[in-house]
Parts: sequence; structure tokens; C-alpha cells
Amino acid sequence: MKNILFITCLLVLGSTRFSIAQLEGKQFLSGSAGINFNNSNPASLSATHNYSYNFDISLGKFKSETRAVGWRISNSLGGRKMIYNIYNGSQVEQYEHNGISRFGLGLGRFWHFYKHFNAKMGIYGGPEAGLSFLNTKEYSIENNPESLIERHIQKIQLSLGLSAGLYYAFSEKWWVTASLAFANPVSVDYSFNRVRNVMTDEKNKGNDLTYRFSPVFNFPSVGLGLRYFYNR
Amino acid sequence: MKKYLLITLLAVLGLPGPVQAQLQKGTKYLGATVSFNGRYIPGNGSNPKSGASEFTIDPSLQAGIFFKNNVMAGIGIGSSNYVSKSWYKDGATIQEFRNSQNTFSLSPFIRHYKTLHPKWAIFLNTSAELAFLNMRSKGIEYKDVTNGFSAGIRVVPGITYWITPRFAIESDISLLSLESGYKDFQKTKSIYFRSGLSSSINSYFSVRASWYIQKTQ
Repeated sequence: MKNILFITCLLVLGSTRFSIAQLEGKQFLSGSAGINFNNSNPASLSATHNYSYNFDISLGKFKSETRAVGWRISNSLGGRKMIYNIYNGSQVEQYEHNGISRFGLGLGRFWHFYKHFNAKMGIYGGPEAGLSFLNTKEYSIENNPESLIERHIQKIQLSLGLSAGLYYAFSEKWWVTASLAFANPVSVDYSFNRVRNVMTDEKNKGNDLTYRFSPVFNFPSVGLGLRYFYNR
Repeated sequence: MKKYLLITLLAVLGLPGPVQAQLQKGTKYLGATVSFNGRYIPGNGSNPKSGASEFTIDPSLQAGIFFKNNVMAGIGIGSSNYVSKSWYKDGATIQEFRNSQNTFSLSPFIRHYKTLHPKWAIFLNTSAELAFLNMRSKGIEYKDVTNGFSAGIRVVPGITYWITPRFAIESDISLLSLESGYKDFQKTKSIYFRSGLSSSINSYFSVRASWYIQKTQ
């Protein structure tokens, strides 16, 4: 009998509906950010470094207790100082590159559906449509003969995706969010490629179109973010 | 008294019984998924004009029937097709190169389900994997065809989520798969044994649409 009572207690507790604070009509600002800096100073070579940051900001509104829509903007930038030693016949030529190597901008519209477990926690998920632009300038060393190749790529991408996450409300106005899964099943991108051999200045141009449909989820892609309700 | 209390509890809370309706003996099953990607590189204007394109498609279809509660036997067919084409125009002559790689697979399987929740279940899928491999390349004055085959056994767990009583989305957790087999292709005979954890692919879940069709009573 004790056992049954215990189970009953557990089940009753487990199914209790907690009252949820009113969310309808509330507006929020959500964001996540990251920075990175790296410096390396070898004994016999000159120092190199790289740095990057990325952030995204969402502006959303709860249309009902369980549905929110909004816009998301994202930006990322990366740069570095790199030194390449190329063996050109019998002598070594040194090339140095300093500056921004990656710059990205994105704009997205999202629709999130919520399941609130209790007053403090819940999960959300939903579709997102996005447009992004990415500009990269990368260097690589190629053999036969050894040469330094510069690839300058400008890419425009249209995508439809799904994302899911978890939230924890630690106060009325502040939530912490964690993204749990991400899928980008549909995407189309167009890129403009400029390839240059830095040593001979030989240039090559090309464009390409890439399209994809793949119903695949990426797990885990945990990213933490903060959310602030500014009219709550 | 104890028994009544328990039964009432179960009924009140709507917990699933020992066998979920969708997983009863006699239920028919159909699952399908597809993924594709492609790339098109147009000519760059200078002479000789050149261009390239490539396309990959991976469809798969599964059908089965529950011959016991929670246990299904079925068969899966699938393919993976890759085609690439490149060309260049030199004056009036056009030269074209084609390359294709195809895998056609047949995989009879047995799947054991365990219900976690009225909407969720996990399963373990054990299948025999038989595949026909084919590679073709075609250039200006040559044509080459290579055929081969592979046979093996694969065990993979998965998750099912019912959106409606009939329709569910499910995913194999390839990360936890185990497979072993024999392959004879391109004049090379090889034996393989691999676990998903050792593969270089990131942890991913490929999603499949599925239907659980019950007999109307």
C-alpha cells in the first residue's frame, strides 16, 4: 500500500499544472554573442594572431500564450595576421596577410511555438526563413609548384530552417535560452568566386549555384542566449 | 482494493497501456525520406567556354507489418545517385564529360519498439544490407562501367514521434549504429566493421516521414 501511495503522489505531482504568467502581447529582445582572440608567438618566426566576434539579436512578440514571432539579425566578423613561407625553387618567399578575412550579415523571420512545462521552464521550436550574406577571403598553399592561392568568395544564401530550444525564466523580465537542435533542410546559395595566385598574379573568376534539400537535424548545437522582456 | 486503485489511476492519468494502438499486431507501416543537393557552375565568359554541374539524390522507402505486438518485419529499398557533368566549348566543338555513381540497396529488417509516452517511442532496427554498386564515366572517346556489390548487417536505434495517430516522424540515430559487411567493388574486396561513433560525420539525425496504418475494425 505504501508503494502505491508513493506512486500516486509522484503521478499527481508530475501532472500538476503550474500557473503560467501571462505572455500574450509581451515583447522581448533576445541575443547571444561570442568573441575570440588568439595570439601565437613562436621563437623563430614572427607573431601571428586571429580574432573574431559574432552576435545575433532577435526582436519578438508573443502573439498568444504559446506562439511568438519576430525578426532576427546576425553579424559576424573575423580577421587575422598570417605569415606564409613559400618555397619557390631554391629560395623562400615570405607573404604576410593582415586584416579582415570573414564578414557575415544575416536577416531572418522566425515563428516559435512554446510548450511551457511550468512557470519557469519550457521548450520552443519552429520554422525560420533567412537571407544571409557572407564575404570570405582565404589563403591556402597549393603544391606542384608550391604557390599561395587567394580565394575571395561572396555568397548570398536563402534558407528555410527549423530550430528548437529550451528556456529557463529566472525572473519576470529575464530568461536564459539554450538552443538544442537545428535543421536547415532547404537552402539555395549563389556565390561569386575570385581565385588569384598571389605569386604569379594569375586570376580566375567563376560563379556557382548550390541548392540543397536534406531533412537532417544537427544535435547538439548548444548555444546560450539571454532574453529580456521590455514591456512586461 | 489495491488493484482498483491502480487501474483507476492509470485510467485517470491516461497513461499508455502495455501496447500502444499503433504498435499492435497487424498494423501496416510505410516510411519514406529523400534528400538531394546540387551545384551548377556556369561558364566564365572567356574562351574556351566551360561549365560544370553535379547532382546527388538519396531517396529511400520502407514498408512493413507488425507480426507481433511491438515487433515489425519489413523491407527497405533505397538508392544514392550522383551525377556530374562538365563541358567546354572550343570554337564549334563541344567536349563533354559525364560521371555517375549509383548505389541501389535492398534491406530486409526487423524492428523492436518500446513505448515511452503516448506520442514517443524508441526502436532498435536490425537489417541486412544488400547493395548493388555502379560507376560510369563517359568522355570524348571512352566509356567505362564498373559494377560491384556489398552485403552486410546493420543495427541502429531510433526515435518515433507521432504527430497524428497515423502519421509520425522518425529518425535513426546513426551515431549509435553498428555495422559489418563485405564489399567487392573496383577490383577490391574489403571487409568492414564500423560503429557510428568512429565515423567522421557529425552527430546528426536524418528525418523520415512514416505512416502507421491500422485495420479498420
